Amino acid sequence: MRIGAGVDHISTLVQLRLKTDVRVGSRWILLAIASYILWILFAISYYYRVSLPLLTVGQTLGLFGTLAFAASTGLSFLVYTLINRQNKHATREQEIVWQVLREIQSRTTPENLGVLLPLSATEQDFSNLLEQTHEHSAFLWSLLVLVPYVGWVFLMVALYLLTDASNAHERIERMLFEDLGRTLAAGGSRQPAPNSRLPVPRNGTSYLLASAFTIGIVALSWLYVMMIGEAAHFRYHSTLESELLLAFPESTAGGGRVA
Amino acid sequence: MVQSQLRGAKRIFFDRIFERSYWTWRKHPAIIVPSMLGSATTVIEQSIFTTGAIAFVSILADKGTLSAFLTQISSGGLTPSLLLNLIFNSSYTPLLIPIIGIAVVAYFLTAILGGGFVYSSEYGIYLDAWNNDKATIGSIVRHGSVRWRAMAWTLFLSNLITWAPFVITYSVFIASALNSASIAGLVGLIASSILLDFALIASLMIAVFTIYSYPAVIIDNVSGLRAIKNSFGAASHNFGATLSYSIVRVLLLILLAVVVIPLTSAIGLPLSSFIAAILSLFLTPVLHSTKTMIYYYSKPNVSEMPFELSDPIWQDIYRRLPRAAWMKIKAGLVEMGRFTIGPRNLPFHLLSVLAFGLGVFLGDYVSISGVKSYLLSTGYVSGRGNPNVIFPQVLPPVLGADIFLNNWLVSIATGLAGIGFGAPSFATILFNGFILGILVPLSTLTMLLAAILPHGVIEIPSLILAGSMGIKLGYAALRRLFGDNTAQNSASETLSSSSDDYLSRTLRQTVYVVVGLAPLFLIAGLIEADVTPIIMRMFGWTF
Repeated sequence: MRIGAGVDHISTLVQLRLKTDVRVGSRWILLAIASYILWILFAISYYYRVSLPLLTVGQTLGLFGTLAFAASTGLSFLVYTLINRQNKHATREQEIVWQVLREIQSRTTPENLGVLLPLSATEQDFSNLLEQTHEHSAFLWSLLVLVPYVGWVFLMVALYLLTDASNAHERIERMLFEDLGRTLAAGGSRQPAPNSRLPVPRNGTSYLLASAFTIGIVALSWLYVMMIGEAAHFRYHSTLESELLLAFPESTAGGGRVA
Repeated sequence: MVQSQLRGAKRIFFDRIFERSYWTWRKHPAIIVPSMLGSATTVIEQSIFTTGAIAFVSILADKGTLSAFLTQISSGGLTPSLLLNLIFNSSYTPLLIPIIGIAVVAYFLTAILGGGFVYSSEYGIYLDAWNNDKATIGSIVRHGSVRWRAMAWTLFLSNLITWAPFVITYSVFIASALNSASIAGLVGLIASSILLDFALIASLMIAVFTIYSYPAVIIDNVSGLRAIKNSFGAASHNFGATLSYSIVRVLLLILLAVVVIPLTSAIGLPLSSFIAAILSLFLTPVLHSTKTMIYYYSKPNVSEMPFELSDPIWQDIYRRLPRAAWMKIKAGLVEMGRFTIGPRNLPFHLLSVLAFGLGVFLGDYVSISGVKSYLLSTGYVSGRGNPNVIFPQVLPPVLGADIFLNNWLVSIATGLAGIGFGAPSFATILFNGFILGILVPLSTLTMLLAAILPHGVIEIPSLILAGSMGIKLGYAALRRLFGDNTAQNSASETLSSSSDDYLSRTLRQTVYVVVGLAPLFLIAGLIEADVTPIIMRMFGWTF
């Protein structure tokens, strides 16, 4: 590999933030609410044999069912986007840290224990991050959510997994970036500022129980929390990754701010 | 810390592979062709039975016993016991047994041998597209002709192992049900009915583990039990990705078939043909490619799939895909024009027209010799259309689109089924003519033309053209077959490679021609749904 190629790769990965750390439009939640209401209307129409004016019961069921399924595809897309966003965010971060560690290793002489010691700790953190980051299939969960009625149970499970993964990610990532900062500082580079605002971990179990007891209503607000809740985390990444690039002065590209 | 240790064990990401499968499908549309050939295999299988049925009813018509036969069928409904009685009825047995026997043997041979060719070309082209960034029609023919035996053997064994528990238990259940009057039969019935669910679950579980048998034939260059063993190994070592794939595959089918089609049908939106097109042209190639690559990346000597970001699939589907599809259709229209007017293609056109004409003649003969009198005896009134068929409760443009997609898919399958040495295309065109021929004596010529011509003037020539293309493809396949033999005998590679090349070019031409037929079938479908009923009424049809 030519000298500086690794740094270029880091720059590219930082720029990819605009593709991975995407903002999910809050209006998508309306489709989730519509899906919930329409499937309830479908059940009522089926159970009580109620029909809309000018329509037979069969046509009414068909109409409610088709609209409910259409709304569910919006919910499904939302779930896909959330899981996919988390997967890609985590993978991009792993790639960046991996490249940064390789770059530091290549620039550090075996005698430079001042750098090698914090580097070893950072590598340990990175190893923990890899070990505890589990990618969930966005395609699979988005399809499971599409199943009428049962999909709500899958939605709760998907949100639980998402919350759990998000909490674990925040926790491990914090340690990793602190050690990485120390490593960079030991090498004479500027240390990226640590995250001053500690995020409060979301309690997935409480959300899950509340959602189950309210037959899925709380799951809607939980979904909304997961949609908008990552914004602060992405803002932190935006700052941190830009500062990380400053540690490698030969980098050509700057890190774009998250949208 | 050693870098490889730091990165940990190799992982297989279902989503990453699925996304790249989608982009491979976009970049190399040729990977759709084996999936289209798969649909064509189904047409070949159907054509075996339709040809048998046409032969059977034509012979009965000749003997003057067709009307009695039809009355016998309709009197008791098509129950299994009635069918058994018919088969073993001395009037029909000498005719039915050989026809059914030949049809069943031909069906299984086609399913296994045709499947061998189709799957080996399919999984081969996925591997080419991923690893060599190249997927041509030539490579489809090459993979199909090189690995078809190994794939056919694996296909047979894999299905045997997968479905044996269910088929055996179900056979015991049927046999016991037929002998339920005896104690042994009753015991067998109770035991098998309890075991039936377990047998089905067992078969489904085995199906999850034999899922990579076909990719293994191509990737590992093995066959039969070895391929199945490799599949078991890969599935158990990568159970998460395998289960994700299986659930996605099954769930997609269930959602489309059990949820979407019934719901939309209830409000007059027939989407079954649309869904069939999506499944055949998009989902099957993308999912099979995903499966192939899950298996490929499960190999110990293949490193983890690198991280790469692509544009979102959804945006591509509604922004760029329609334009890309239109470009292919335009290219198809040009190729179709060339094929239609090419003087060298005249014999194929004539054969296709002959098949259609022969079908009309046979249908007309069968109708006069029994079908018409039978229909009149059941209360059919000449000039009255079936309201459920002609005017179902659907939104007219959607019905037109549904008819278009159905006919287009049939024409795709008809054209590509020609790879079975032309006979399936000939039989399919014959069958379509046969159905039309049955209708001829049922009304006056003017009324018949009013019902057929408005859309048929486009639809029938288009279908005949698809058949003509299929017959040409069959000719190319025959040349390949004999060219190959010559090459083996004379140790000359030239003939073989030239016939390979001719088959590849003809297959490519077939794909373009059937794609180019889409606009014609769309126009015909819209006319059939929205204009033909009006014209039919003008000429005295009632509903």
